Amino acid sequence: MAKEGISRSFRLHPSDDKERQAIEIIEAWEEKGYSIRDIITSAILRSAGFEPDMFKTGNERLTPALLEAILTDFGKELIQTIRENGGVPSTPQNKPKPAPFDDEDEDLEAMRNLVKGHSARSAKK
Amino acid sequence: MPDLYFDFGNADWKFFDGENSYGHERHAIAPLTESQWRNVVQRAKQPPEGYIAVEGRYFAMGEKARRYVLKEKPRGADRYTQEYYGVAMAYVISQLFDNNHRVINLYASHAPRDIAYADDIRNAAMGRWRFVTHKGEYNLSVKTVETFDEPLGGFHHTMLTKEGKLLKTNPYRKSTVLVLDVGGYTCDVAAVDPGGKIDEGSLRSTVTGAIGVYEIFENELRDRYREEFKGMGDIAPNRLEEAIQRGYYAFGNMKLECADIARSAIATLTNDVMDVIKAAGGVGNFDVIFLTGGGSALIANPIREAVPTIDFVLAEQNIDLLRYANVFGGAKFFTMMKRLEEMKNG
Repeated sequence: MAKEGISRSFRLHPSDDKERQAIEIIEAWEEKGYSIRDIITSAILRSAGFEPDMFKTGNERLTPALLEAILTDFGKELIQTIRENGGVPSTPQNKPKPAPFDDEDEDLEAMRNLVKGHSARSAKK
Repeated sequence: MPDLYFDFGNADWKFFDGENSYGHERHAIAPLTESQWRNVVQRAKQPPEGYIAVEGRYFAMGEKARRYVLKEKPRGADRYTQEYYGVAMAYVISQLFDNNHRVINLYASHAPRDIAYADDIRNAAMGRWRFVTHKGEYNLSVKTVETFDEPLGGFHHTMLTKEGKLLKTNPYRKSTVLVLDVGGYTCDVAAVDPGGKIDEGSLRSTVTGAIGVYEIFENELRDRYREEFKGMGDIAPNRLEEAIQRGYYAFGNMKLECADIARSAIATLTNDVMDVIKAAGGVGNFDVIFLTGGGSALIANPIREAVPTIDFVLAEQNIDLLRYANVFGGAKFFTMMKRLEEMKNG
């Protein structure tokens, strides 16, 4: 454990639905007097099975979705920081597997049409 | 390898790193002499923010450039040179990234009518760049350059998720969409048919934009408050924007009422945009109109009142971020393209 502690920073972007929700909930916690340090520390402890005091007040606003959003961003930032400091090589085997396209929620044909349109424009250059 | 999404707008530049960092800067570049540069840098190792040295040439950028006599902006293909576009690109790289990167990928947007200059953009940007800004010395290569139409960037920001997915739950997936990109000097249009088919014949630019609104507003404001503005030089553009939004101009501790002037200045742009819609085929030929670009923030409510027969959707729900919608959408589109390529390559 680093005696000096660790320092990370990230920005939640309001154009992303999850992150916008996270921003609103963080601001609500801050209005209650909790700092961003409190919120993230408590969220991480909770993810590991502990029950920090801020969650014992009966406040149900730290939802699984917020926890996922906070931890996902924290995780991404942590990995990026380790890579930049030479800790984890960014080799092909470490690249996350691309999301499959058999996701029935996606309109694959429309996506391909958008790419075709872009390619047609590129041909004019 | 970091990505730069760069909208080289006529009024202001918008830039985005594809993740969380974005910014904008007024479109202004003032070449400096060596002596002017030395005055700025003095004994410091680096210049202050707003200045850049590129391979022995010196420039003031954005708001700082307004302190110097600006030459007329180049037009057409003359904008897309290393000495102009390249310098602006180098400057925005330093705004977004620290100087420890060696390679950058550029995704450059352009107005539809500038498609003919896409190769000029590529030639102006690619290659090795050495420059100095307030963040230190940079030595990097722009390795790849992709280009995209700005209104389509706005379209993609509305239609795609951050992961580059077009979901079946998107309510506009089967709509015929007209995209209006209202910028500082131009209003660009693109029509997209159901299922994502871009109507190439619809892509065009019209000369009208937010700058015209600010000019009319400033003239009327100075005319109404002649005594107050007597002897006053240029009004900073951001103060004009604020006055238009608030309905009063903050003059020291006075509030100069100007809501009616703002409304009438905005109406001129609203009327121009309505003409653009008619020229694109009229509301009867579309299911919905997407508004993108910073100028859309001015006309969103007036045009909805003036044309109640069709829905106008803002490409970016946060009106303060509307100016970035095209670069945000560019990032989503190229994320989608990368996913498609990775899957194709197995």
